[in-house]
Amino acid sequence: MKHALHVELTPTNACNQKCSYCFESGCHRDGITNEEADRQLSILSNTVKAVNEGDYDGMCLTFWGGEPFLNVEFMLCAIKILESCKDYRISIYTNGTYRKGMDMFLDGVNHATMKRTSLQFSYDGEPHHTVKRGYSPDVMIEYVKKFLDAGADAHFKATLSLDMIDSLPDIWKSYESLFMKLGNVVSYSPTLDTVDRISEEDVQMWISAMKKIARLEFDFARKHGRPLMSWFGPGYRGNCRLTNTVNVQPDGNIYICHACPYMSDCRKTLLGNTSEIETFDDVTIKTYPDTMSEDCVNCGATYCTICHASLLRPDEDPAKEWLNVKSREPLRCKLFREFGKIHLAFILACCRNRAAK
Amino acid sequence: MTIDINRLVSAILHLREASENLKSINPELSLLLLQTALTLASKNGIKEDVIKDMDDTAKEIAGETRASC
Repeated sequence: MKHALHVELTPTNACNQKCSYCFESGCHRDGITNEEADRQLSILSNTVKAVNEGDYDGMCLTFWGGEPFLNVEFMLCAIKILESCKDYRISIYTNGTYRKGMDMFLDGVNHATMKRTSLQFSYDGEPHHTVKRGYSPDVMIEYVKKFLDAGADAHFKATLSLDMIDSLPDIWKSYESLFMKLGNVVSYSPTLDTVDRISEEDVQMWISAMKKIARLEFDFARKHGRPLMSWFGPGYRGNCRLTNTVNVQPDGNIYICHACPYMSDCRKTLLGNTSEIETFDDVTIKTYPDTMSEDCVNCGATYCTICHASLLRPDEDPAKEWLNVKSREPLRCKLFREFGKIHLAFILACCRNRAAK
Repeated sequence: MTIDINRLVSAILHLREASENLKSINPELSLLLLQTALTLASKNGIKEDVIKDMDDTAKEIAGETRASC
């Protein structure tokens, strides 16, 4: 969908797991009250009507958490409303371990809607997953298969902690094994969003680990026609889409994206509250700033997910400054820049290999 | 105009590579590509060691497997 309204609902902030590095661990773990759930569903219904009569091509509804399947009843009600939209897609972020909720979803959603549903399963690769998350990925893998069989799309998201960077080749290999089991749906897409402090030593360790991965990727790409780790793909620089998108929390607060509620100063990214609006589109930001800080334009990173929301100062207007923010984390930027060098060398090695053939 | 140095170095290396591959097939085009690569490098102040570093990394990534291609 070219021009969609993106609404992200949070059925609950509670979670059935206790991952050691979770950035939500210090936050409220509350569910949604019945009154607030009714309000959000009523706004969703108004929003679908407005989208059907307006210029949007359709809606993308995302379920964020906590673990959203803990409140699958809310999800199913929201989907029922969404099904009357002229076009729609559904995304779900899940750890893939709450059987009861996932079974209810598989039973309660029809095939046509399942085909429009995409799930992102959290899987770090081993030994990272077991060490940091503390649970086996077996249930998650079982349900990936079930959702794929039901017609949904599935992909994976990993978190990579810098203190486990030495294990990166093993993590990569465990993803390769998963690829052999599940096929083309598997890509290793790690984020570094829990990295707080980085030393120059970490950067050097990072370079060394990424070079090892680049060699593994070179062989993998020759066999399978694409890299396993998404970072070695076409490249990506950016973060939240900012425009025409809202993240709705169980307390009714509405933010630019799901990272914002966890920031120490989230006032600037607070768009409003469900008690004040008729449709979710009432509070979306409509214009994407077309400027970018010179630091970012000149940066050699080919892949970057540094969150713009986290870079905003309290006095900065997101609608004006979203891309114009300057990084205050030079070493974190360096990680991405150094990866950019290795990525381009990887592309060069692949081109040479192709030319030699 | 702002320039992404990593991409520029990569482009220079690609031009050099293409120049090398075309040497025996089309020497004129090969020379033109090499000159373009050199002009790009000198006009943007790219030092030889930056280009060499990326070239070395690419060879390191391809490892032993490159010889068997």
